[in-house]
Amino acid sequence: MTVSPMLRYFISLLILSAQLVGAQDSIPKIERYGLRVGVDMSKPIRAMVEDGYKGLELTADYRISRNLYVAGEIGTEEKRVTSEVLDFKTSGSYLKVGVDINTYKNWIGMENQILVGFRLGLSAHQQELLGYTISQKNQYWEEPLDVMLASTQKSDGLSGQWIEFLIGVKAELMRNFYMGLSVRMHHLLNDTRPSNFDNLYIPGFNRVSDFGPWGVGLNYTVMYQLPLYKKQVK
Amino acid sequence: MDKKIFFLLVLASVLSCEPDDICESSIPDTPALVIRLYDAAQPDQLKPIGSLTATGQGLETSLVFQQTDSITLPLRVTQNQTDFTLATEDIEDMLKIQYIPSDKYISRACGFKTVFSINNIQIEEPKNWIQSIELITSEVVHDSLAHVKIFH
Repeated sequence: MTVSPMLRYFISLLILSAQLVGAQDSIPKIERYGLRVGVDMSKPIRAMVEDGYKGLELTADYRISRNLYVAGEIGTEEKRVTSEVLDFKTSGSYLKVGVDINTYKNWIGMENQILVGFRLGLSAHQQELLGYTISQKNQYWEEPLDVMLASTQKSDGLSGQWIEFLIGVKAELMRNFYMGLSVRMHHLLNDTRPSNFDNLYIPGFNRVSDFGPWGVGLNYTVMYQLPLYKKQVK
Repeated sequence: MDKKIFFLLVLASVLSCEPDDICESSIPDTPALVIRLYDAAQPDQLKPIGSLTATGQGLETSLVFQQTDSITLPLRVTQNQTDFTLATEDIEDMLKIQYIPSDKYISRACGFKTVFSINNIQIEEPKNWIQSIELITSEVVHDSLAHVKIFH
């Protein structure tokens, strides 16, 4: 999968950031509460390095208590997959809603997070089959087995529902500007499939495996915090 | 906490591999037509043939079957008719099969296969070594069971 080198890169970044932070503090302090909104920068990067991919994702989280955030993502993706035996295009949008829990205790005046969390994900997408290869072991007739569909087989009204588990970090780089990174395990719960084909890619979920419900994803966000109020930590 | 994160990262990298990109040869793909050879005098008895040569219409290579009561003939996936000359000891008969092919999805790694719905199967007159032909099932979906009986 083309995402793996990127994934490995971000994972090492994540480990590095996890090692950089790691002290504690118990002096009372003031913390800001607010709404953070941002954009996933991994999607435009992926669109540059990966053929047939386009995507946009907006993210937001809202701090509801000292270590708890309501968080979500909304996005659209388009992906054309060309393999030795299949050529298809999936496009659609998705919504993910869940919570993030901060597990990191900051120094005074710092507001960074090491997060664990989960999301419920929903997609509404369509799929277009452009061509395929017929698998035939005995090729006695020496016929061409690659089929390019003159009228593509289009399936509308497809959907997927899944759950995601994530770990991530969010660091304040400048006042109210955050950079975030998360890696996610996806578990497909349910999907409506096209007739005589399958959901091999689901927007927001990413690649679907033939062998199991698990998938992977990541996001790399730049976020701005709209500080709404401050609260003293007891 | 560190251990949990490490575990999740390992799990994520393992799952990003793609074990489903290789089409296993054990997965059934486009089926061939399976014909079993029966005794014309005792229609419920299989009757093996010493040697049978099947040659597709317009082709020069042949499929050769020896000492068997079961032959498999690949059907053309881009046409709706396949013709074979079936010869034993230089006596020939012409088998004509008409069908509707349709492509069915198998998997990400294997792509699609063609299955066939037979409309008509016949031996061209005058019949020589073959006495009669009988269709067992018109749906050629897999090739583990016989589709056609030939009596000789």
